[in-house]
Amino acid sequence: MRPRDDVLDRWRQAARHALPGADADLVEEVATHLADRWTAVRASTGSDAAADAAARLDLDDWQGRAHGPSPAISSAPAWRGLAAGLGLDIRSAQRRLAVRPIQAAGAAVLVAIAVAASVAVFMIAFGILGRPLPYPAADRLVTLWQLTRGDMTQISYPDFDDLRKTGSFDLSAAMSAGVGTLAVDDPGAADRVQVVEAEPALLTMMGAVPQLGRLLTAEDGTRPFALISHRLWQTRFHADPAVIGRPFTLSGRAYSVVGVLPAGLDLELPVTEGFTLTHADIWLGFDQTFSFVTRRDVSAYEAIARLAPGVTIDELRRRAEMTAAVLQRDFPATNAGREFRVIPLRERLTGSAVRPIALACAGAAIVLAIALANLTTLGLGRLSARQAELAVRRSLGASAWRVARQVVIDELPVALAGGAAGLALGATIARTVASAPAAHLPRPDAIALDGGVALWAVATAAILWLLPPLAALRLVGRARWLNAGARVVGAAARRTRRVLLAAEVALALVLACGAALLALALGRLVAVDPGFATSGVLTMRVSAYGGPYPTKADVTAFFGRLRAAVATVPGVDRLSAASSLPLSGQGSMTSLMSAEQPLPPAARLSAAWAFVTPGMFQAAGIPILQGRDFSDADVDRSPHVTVISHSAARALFGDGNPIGRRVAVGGGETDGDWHEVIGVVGDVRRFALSDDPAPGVYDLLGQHWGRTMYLIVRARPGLDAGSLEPLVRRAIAGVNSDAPVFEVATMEALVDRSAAPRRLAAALGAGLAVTALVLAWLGTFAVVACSVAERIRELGVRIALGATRAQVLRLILGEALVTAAAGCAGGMIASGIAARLLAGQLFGVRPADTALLVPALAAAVSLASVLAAWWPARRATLADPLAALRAAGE
Amino acid sequence: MAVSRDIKKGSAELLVLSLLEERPRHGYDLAQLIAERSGGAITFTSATLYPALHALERQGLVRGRWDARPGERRRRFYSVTPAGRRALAVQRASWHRFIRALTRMTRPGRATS
Repeated sequence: MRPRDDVLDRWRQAARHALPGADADLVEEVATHLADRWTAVRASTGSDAAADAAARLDLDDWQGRAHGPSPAISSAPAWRGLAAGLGLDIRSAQRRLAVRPIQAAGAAVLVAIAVAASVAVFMIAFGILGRPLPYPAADRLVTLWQLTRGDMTQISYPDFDDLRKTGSFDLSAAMSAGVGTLAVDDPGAADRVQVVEAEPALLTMMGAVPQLGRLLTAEDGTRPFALISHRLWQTRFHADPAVIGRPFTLSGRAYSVVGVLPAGLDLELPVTEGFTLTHADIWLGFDQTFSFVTRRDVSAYEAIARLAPGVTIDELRRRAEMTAAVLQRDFPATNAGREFRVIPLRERLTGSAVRPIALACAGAAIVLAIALANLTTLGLGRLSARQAELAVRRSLGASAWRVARQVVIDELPVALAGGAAGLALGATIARTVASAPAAHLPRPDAIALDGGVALWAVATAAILWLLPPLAALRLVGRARWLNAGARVVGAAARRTRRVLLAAEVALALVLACGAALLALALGRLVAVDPGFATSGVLTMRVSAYGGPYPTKADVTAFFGRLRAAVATVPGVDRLSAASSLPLSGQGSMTSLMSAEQPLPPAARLSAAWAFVTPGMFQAAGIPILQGRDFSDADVDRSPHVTVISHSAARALFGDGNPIGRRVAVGGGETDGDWHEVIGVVGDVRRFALSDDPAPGVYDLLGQHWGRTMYLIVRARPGLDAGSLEPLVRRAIAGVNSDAPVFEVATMEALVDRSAAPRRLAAALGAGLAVTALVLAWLGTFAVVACSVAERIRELGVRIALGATRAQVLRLILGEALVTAAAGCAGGMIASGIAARLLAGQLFGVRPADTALLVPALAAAVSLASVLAAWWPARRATLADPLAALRAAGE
Repeated sequence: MAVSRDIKKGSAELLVLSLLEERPRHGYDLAQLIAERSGGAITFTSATLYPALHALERQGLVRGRWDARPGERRRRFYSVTPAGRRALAVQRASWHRFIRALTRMTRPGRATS
């Protein structure tokens, strides 16, 4: 009979308690182990308390530890096994974080940068493309346009009316937008406001419910009633609850308020490339008695309709095609070659943004990939430092799951901090881009931080949190845990790090090349000769409204007086007026035919049309190539006189002299209105800088007329054109203080706006490319530094055994260069592919440019990599040979 | 030439098998030996040691047997099986390959990474 063993009994109980469900053998073994430990410590210290503490400490180590994959504990629920020791892992992560604050902060910055890029791009992309439009049944709303010989224009009302008679719509509305001068109470303080005159169905389609008063009816078209926007109600009517019935003046006409629209209700509709209808402040009824309503030849209305139930967009397009064919047959004079164009409202609104957004998405994905590679690199570095510890834990029963969980939980604080900072930074960037006037983004209000964006940030941060440590673990795991020494694993990790680094360099190079090509294209675009002066010119629109100027002669005389008055302004070199301006987004197209070669309307030359005052070509910097400019005396001449552009002259008369020949402008020959060509001027790029120079035809104000003209003011050389604005305004007010002056802009600003989408793409690309390059550069630095730190003993031994410091330096820098060069080689191939994908965005960029730019950037990136490796390489040369030898002799 | 500590640490299986090759030992004895011979650098608690021993036993590399010696507590003694001896030989060989590689690597004038 064995003597009673109190110590063993006590620890057997404790072991049973600490290892619930473990098999009896294990409990007995552990109990004996603890009893032995207790006895040994008691013997050496003489203290029961010390012995208790030592054994208890040993037993505590079982706390939360998986008892190994032993079937002995299979009675515990699976989740408890998986979650066992979570608290311990979290505490351990906190301790580890405290040990490596700088490294952790660096990783958090990496996460923040990648999350910020991802969130910013997602917020913009989802806001513009993903969010539903804020109207009921918005996916059934379509916009209707006309296509005449390839030129898309607004629609003529009779054509629109014929289309809606096909029964394709349950709601439809024509509208006309413009700018008006608003005066409330004090006539002196006039504001420019956006005015929309629309059929009542428009507001129904937008789901408008008036906040005050009522909406407009069909009868309001000829009555002086107006709806006002919530914004205008707050700013100009001081949110007056009794605003209904308040009178105001709009461009000289008296109206009264019948209703206030709710906050946030707006219609955004791109009409031309340069003009988007948005922020409408005053809504008027649709005047069915206005002369344009009955004229098929005037295409002046925007139209929106909602598809009737059961009618698809394809069905509508088919019906529109049939209607257009009937109209072409019935009204050949006006409708020859004219078709309908149906574009869903959403596509019309956001179509132009799709390409830049797709580019930005690709860029953000690349930044994310680089950050992942960088974090994996850092993870590998840490893992190989912890290799021994993890290998022991693994070999001593910790499951692969436990080791992985520990490694992953270590990174949680980094992911949380980086993710939160990235979300804040990304949202700020997106909001800044959305509200930047130069960006001209559609739907800026839809770019908002909400749950979806936050979820996206969480998902991105989770990827950045989980993937790198798990990938690192897997890569390290390949080198067998137990049988290989830490140094062997270190070498495997080092190789992997170099491969990752090469991939990073490749990706960064692709992004850099893409951004550089976009920037080069932007430079080429801005440097292109538009055919007119882009600097030293101030432009503004001036209107001669109804009351004081009822006739053509009155309007012509008004602009004559205006020119005379503005000409006296000091600093004004030349000035003139024109009905349209290149790049303003406003312009008309017409047809042109020579008298010697009669053609049916559909076969005539399509040309941009404007009427101008004498001196316009000089003021705008359009060269006169042949013949002469208009003169004031031409107003009364018969036949009417016309100036055509170079390419129009070539198209109509070939190499012959066009001066004195006769042309019909816009079907004028039916009224016997033949024009005599008096001059030939240079072509201009009319709607966008990337347009080819196109045929144009100019008539004289007085022979043709309109109430709103662009004033083109050329400043004296060396003078800032923008600075003339106040003086010019004063001169205009001297002629008529009520004349609205609006859309004041220098020609430079118009050129800027025309380049805005490309500038946005280039700016986003540059931002992402710089981020990627910095990340890759830091990656190089980190990888080389890490590698040097691990090999410092080996390098010391090399030096001790005779290698010179220069040789060591060459060794490290050479490795960095080889890695970077490998990355650059891959990156160059990928850049070539990217350049081909980008071709549509690359105005004026030739293959030769790409062939020069890509290798140059690759060389620069390689050089930068060597520079990044320099500092850690210098450190390598300082390896202490004596310390290395001592360590080797251990 | 002695072996650096982290390499020893990384080769715990080799360590345990080597110690058991000399003669059968119980767990507490192993823990004491490892702590002693590593100068206290490596300490195994029961929570790390016994699951490892049981894992080796499941792989058939060691065998455990309860044995009571006069005047001592009843303990489970582990001994190396023939399979364990073979595994130990393989591990020793790979260990020596590693040492040779290290030696080659630290000769001057040849670049390796």
